[in-house]
Amino acid sequence: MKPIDLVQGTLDLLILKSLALEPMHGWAIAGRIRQLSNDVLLVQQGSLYPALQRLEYQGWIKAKWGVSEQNRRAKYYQLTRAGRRQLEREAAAWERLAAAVTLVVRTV
Amino acid sequence: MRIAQMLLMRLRALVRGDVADRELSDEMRSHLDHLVAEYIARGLTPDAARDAARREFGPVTQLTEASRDARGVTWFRNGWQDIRYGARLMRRTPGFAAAAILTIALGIGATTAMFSVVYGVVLRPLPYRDPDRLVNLWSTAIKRGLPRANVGMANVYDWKARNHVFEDIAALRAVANFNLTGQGEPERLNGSRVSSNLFPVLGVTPFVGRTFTEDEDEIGHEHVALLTYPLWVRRFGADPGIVGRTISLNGEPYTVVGVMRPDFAFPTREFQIYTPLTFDPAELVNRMNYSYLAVARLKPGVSLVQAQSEMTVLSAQIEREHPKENEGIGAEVVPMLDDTVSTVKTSLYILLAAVAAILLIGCANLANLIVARALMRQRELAVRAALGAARARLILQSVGELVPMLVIGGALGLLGAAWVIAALVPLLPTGVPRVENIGLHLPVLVGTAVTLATIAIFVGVWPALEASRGGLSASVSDLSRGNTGPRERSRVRDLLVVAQIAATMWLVIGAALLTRSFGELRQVRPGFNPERVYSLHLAIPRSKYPRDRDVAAFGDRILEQVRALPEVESVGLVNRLPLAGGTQTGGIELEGIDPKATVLGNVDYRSVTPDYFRTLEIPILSGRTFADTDTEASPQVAIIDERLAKVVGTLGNPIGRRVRIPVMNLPWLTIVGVAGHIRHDRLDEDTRPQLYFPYKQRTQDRMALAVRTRTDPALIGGSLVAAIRAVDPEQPVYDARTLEAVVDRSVAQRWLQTVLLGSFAVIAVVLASIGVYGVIAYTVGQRRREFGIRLALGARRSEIVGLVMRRGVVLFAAGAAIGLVAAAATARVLASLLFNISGFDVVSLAVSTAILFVVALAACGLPARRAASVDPSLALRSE
Repeated sequence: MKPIDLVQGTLDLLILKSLALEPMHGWAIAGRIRQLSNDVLLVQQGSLYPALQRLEYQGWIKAKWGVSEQNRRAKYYQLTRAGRRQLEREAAAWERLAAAVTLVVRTV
Repeated sequence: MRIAQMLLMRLRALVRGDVADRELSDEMRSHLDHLVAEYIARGLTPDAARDAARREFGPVTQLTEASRDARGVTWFRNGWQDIRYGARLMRRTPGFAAAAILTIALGIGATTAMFSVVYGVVLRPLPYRDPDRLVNLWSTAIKRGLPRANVGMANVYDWKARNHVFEDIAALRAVANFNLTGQGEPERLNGSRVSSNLFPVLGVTPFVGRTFTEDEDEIGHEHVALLTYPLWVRRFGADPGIVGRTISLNGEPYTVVGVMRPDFAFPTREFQIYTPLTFDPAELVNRMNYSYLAVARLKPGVSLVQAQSEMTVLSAQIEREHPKENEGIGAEVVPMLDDTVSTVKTSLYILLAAVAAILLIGCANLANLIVARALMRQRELAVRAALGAARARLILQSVGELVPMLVIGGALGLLGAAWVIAALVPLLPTGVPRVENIGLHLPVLVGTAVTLATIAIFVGVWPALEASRGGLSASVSDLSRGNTGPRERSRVRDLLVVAQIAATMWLVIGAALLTRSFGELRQVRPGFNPERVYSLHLAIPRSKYPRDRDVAAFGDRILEQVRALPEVESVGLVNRLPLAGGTQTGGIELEGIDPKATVLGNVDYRSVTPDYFRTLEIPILSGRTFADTDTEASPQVAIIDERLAKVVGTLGNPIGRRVRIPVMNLPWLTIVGVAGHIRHDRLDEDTRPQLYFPYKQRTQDRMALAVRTRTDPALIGGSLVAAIRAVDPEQPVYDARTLEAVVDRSVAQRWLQTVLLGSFAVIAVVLASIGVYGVIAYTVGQRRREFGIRLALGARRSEIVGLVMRRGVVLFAAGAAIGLVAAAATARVLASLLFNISGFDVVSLAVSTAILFVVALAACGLPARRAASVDPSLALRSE
């Protein structure tokens, strides 16, 4: 089991999770993360882009140019099949990590 | 799928990185616009909204950079940048670039050409199925002085029946002469008679038609022929209807059953035609006639050692069953490829090592050039390192900058190698096997690529390390002043020069040894006089001249015609011309001498006409030469050479004593004369004593005509052929050349390796002297100030010269010593190429050392004089 780089790994996981439902563009991903986490997780929006590039070049997601709801050209990202599997793996890893941390924190 | 996407994305990032960048910036801008719009919607002024959006988004430039890195191709883009920088640098310093490219091109060209020869001849697998399982089987008869001999058919049959290690054993008579007539000029074809299973043993199929069937191994069914591809193209115009056509060989009709593939060259490319092998069944009973070659295929998983031990056991078994016939006969198993290339392997490897040494010497010069340039840029490098450039990045950059020169030099080198192969390989002496395999094959190109990569690392990495060494901050401040610099900085250069001198020393010694050896060889007197003698060969077909007497009469008529030519002084026939490659050997028995007491198991047999001795100027030491009266009907006579005469001499005058071939109840022959001993097989080896028979009493159907002319022998060829055609218009001749050319050909391989190694040594000396000069001159430049101070303090100019020269001499001594050690270490290998001198020949060693010493002195002398002429006031003031 590889050690998880918390910050980077977390951002990747959040992006993958956001894209699990439907393809969306960068701006919407940022909004989704904020919305889903009840504003608890505040991602510096620009840092999405290196992460998106990385995920795309890893083959987890792929991008297509489309038109946004405001009628602007936007790049839509969607999960690939490999990305979906990667999401499951990362989600499972995260849950184990979270559970372990919780356990440690709760123990008196 | 995912891998494909990853590769595709990276490729896009490389090729269309600008597009990816633009899309990224579009995306980021539209994101920012969204944020701005949102803040405006919350009620901020446009300016405030823009600031807030920027804050929330983060630093655009850094994020763009990070995104680029995330594509995972940064190193590649940097590399590309370095390479382009290297190309610009090259244009800016054309002299430097030319020197570097020339060095690389020469080194790569020479090594590639040489390696393609080594690969094609020695390493490339034979063009047969599973070629490493193919072996040759030889007879051994150590007790009779024959470490390796051809095999007899009875033994082949016994081996075949009893062994468990071979899939099959095929037999052949390698050299068979076929006179092809009926289509244009009659031509003698060098062919081979082979058992039908040869082709399955080798695992080859024909290009068209079929190979031989088992039936065709039977006497009476053997009139079928297989052509090689080149013969089919050359003589039959690649006739597609060749299969089934009848051709005339030795005056008899043969049906062509097939044509072999273009790459089929068995046993060598000199063979052009194959017919089935038949033999006298009596050979299986009398176990005589060791004139076949045997080729076998090992069963899968059987090792050479297993095969050899099985053959040893079988030979002992057969010897027990036939104690008389097989006395002392063993068997040897030799891998086919080893057998084919054994004569040239050592020589080729030594030449390859020599070329590699030249490459090393050249690269050392190149490295020195690059270091000098890197040191000039040291300040730039130091500043960049101080600004945070990683050392690895600087090293990669140094290698990257070399790439354009390596590519151009490498390409030129490959072109050169291709030219060498196309132009010079056809000039290789006959007897170098597998020449047709020499070419720029894939493994050769891989070797070239590896060599180029090695040069890049050797020549690129070290200068970068050198230039970025020593506290970086220190060098930034240090370098502004031209002080002498840390002393250890020159240590690697010194090492390089020492290595250059050592490699050169080794090469020069090798060349000196070979040259001396060749000189010795040319001192050898062959025992005959090749001047003004012309020779050609005749294969006389038995189908046309069935009886010995017919052949002899045909020979007589030819002699008569030739003797009538005005330019002919004398003419003779012999079945095997000296130094032409062929030989006929066997044992003899001398009357009154116990055959067991003397080694007479290995003697040359030669059938000659009376004037042969006069024509070749072989002296008759006592008795008489043969006469026209020595015929079939007259008493059987023989001439022995002086070495046999010495053996007989223990009993008194040999004339009148008797000698015979101790087999099959052949008659006793009376010795009528003693001839001088000649070098028959090779100039460098004197293996056997010689026994001569009169041509009419032991007639041979393959003859060489030797003609002593009154004028230039090279001009007589045409009239000789005309004279022979006057006797028989269908009689082809072959291997026609002067006897001097025959002698030269016999030493051509030694001559070539001497010339090659000699030229390599000269190149090495030139390159190494440039190297020594460069390094000494550089140090002198560095120490100008120091010399100025010394002179100002009262040092004499001769002392300065001494100072510089001493360094040169120390470097030379170290290099020469290492070179001598290397030469001693390889002396044993080299000795196998030497004739009459040892690998430790003192003259060669001394001469080589002296030559190099003088060259080194000269290379140091120029910079030393410059050092002594330093003007102290200028040198001191220049800072």
